[in-house]
Amino acid sequence: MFTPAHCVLLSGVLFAVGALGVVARRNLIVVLMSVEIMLGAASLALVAFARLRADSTGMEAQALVFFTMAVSAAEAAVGLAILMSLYRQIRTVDSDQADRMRG
Amino acid sequence: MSAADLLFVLASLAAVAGAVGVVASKNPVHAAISLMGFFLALSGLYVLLKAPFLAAVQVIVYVGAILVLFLFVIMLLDLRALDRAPRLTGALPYVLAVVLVALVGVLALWPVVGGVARAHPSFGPAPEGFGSTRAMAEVAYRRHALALEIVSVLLLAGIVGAVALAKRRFPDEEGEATEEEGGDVRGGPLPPRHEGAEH
Repeated sequence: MFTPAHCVLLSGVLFAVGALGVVARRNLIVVLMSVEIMLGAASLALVAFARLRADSTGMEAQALVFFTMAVSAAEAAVGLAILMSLYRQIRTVDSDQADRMRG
Repeated sequence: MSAADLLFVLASLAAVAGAVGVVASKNPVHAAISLMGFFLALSGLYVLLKAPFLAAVQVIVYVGAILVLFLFVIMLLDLRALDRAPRLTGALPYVLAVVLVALVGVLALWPVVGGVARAHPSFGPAPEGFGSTRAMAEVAYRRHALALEIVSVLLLAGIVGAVALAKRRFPDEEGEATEEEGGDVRGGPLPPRHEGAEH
């Protein structure tokens, strides 16, 4: 029988994988994808705890996840728009090349 | 192990495989397909956790909109610029890094997971209609109607912002709009690359 602990563990592992992707990849598109993975992992934990409190509080938690999905969509759109603006200046999506503000 | 447990194991493995695939893929299109697998696995997990409305919204919003947006951006960018030799070759270092980080995540979380396991040994029964569209509507429209409207405005702001960013004209681009055409020419060229950047 899968328990809340299993879900929390899975959420943590997924979040760690997403965090690794944000830190370790140079391709900025993959970095944005990894941010979405982290958001999905956090939402999974919320849904698991909503299932635990299977009453009106649980439905409020599911509503929070719903709003999170909407905000995540807006953030992905704006983030990709920023990425495209950057690409038009430096002609690459390599984060190592985005160093005009350094030094 | 019941059918639900088996499905949970399968969906969990698919989610982890999808996440690992995103981080470990050299080709961004492969990463996008892996991300789709991750989102679909998450949707399956939501169904198992009695959140069918969220599962449907997950597929519609994440797979149907956000993923498509990612694919459009990958299509529009010139990816030939990414084919320079990476510092570490192959996908093996990425897979190893992912395994290592997953292990670290498990170790770091073990006290938390133990605490959750002690406090809540299992899921209780869920009332009829929990997680359904009707239940979500009751919560969202009755108690959080203002938040719903604000989220709508947020999405509008996101759209307007994305369009505004896309319409910017940069002076370095050939044949782009000048000020007479109503384009928005910003500043000057970028400052030069950082000294000694190639290391």
